[in-house]
Amino acid sequence: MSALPIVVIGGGQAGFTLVDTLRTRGYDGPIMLVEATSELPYQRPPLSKAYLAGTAGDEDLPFRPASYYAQHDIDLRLGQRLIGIDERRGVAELSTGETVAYRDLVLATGSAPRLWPGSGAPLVLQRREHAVTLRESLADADSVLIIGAGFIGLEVASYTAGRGMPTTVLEAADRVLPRSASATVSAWLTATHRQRGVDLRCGVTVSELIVDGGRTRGARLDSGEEIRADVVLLAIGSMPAPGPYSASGVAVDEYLRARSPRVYAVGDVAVFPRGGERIRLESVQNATDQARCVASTLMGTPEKYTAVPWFWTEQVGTRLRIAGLIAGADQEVVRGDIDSGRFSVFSFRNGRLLGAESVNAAADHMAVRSLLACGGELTADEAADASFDLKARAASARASARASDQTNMQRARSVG
Amino acid sequence: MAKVTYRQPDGNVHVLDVEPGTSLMRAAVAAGLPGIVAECGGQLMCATCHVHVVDGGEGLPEMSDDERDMLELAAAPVDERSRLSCQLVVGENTPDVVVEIPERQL
Repeated sequence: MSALPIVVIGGGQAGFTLVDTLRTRGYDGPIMLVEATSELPYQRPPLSKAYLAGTAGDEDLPFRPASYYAQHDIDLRLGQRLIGIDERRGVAELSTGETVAYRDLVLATGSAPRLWPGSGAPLVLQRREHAVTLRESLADADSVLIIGAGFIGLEVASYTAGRGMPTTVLEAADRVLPRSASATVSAWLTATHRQRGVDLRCGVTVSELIVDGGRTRGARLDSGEEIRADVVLLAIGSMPAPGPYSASGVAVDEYLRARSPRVYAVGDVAVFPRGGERIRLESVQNATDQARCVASTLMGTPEKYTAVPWFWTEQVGTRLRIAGLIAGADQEVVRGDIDSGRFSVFSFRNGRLLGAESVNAAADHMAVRSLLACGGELTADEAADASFDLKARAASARASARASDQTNMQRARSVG
Repeated sequence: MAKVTYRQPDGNVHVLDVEPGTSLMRAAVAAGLPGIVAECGGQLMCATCHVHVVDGGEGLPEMSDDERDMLELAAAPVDERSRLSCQLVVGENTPDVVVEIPERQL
């Protein structure tokens, strides 16, 4: 009997990274990658940035050319979806009617934009075809209304305002990026977008969308005010992609194993334990690190998922890099000069470093990633002191982590 | 158009013709070359497209502070020839370039 395949459902960043990692590390068994769209697996971050602006084209999006999959003996199934799983028998049913007995099944089905519950059909932005529609709609438009001041909404606003298009952004929370950014960075972003002409309003609730001649042409606020625009983009976050297993993501343990044997979940869809809570993260980092973690497990070296989260966004001509999860912080300190547009905000809880947001300050960001990964210490006073050598502290944290790794390996060898 | 030679750690060599405006990272990925991961897609957010420029570096863009900082976390040893290939965009007059791909990107 021939070997059963590792079946990966979803050809986004997580699914692609998983199959690529397996092959790079020398796994030579059969691999099947099932992607619901008919497109070669491609990267999403440019969709709200260079691809929207037209400075990156279709040829810039795929992770690898079509020939890669054949060369690496990856059975790529485009335009096919997972319909059901027979957990007891270890069989996946595909939308073609085919049933596939799997060695292991990895769910990497990603997320889908949250839709508007009422009437109206605003644009959304998550997949390539969404970006094409948005770009074409904006080409004929004189104004845009964006509902939601998360990463996507603000990146699009940055682009449209940069083109001189009247741009309105509405956010229900009392500040932009309410879940991802500190109050300091929220305030800086808000001021910077406004300076660039964006009509940015927080703490406003949309009661309904205005539909005119079959097209969504604006929003009516709770206050009764109407805001009209040629293009309306809804950017109020994402939900785990719907699938046959769960509507609210796939719950996994610290090894990213789902409830069923030989079933794993990685990327946007995975709900995993972290710091006593169960969380879900939508980011390139989370997708790729989880994919590599499961690849290790599938190749016989079970690995717990402990990677440090990091995120980035490009807007208002700057790059904002975030390391760590800063929700729940009780102290924020600024390193650098906010007015110079080059600074970092460090967040702490009970004196412990949670993370940092760096605006045009890559060195700070890299140092914090090292400190968080290696368990390095940093006090708020040190972080705020521009003369404190953050890079040296990060380097010493990396060195002591390496030394302790080696000690552990020596111990393991002496035991074995 | 510049001729770019990619030397793999296992001794394999790939030569690509790279159009002006295209980065050495993008050209390598589009051709399916191994060894360049390019996790962030060229956004200066990772250090997984690290190369050593052994020849022709004078025709490539100078290193930015961001690139220097991101190189800190490259997995393979960094030396004075180290660059992130996503930043190495070929120009109209870029001469032929030779780069070495390190053992590890992660």
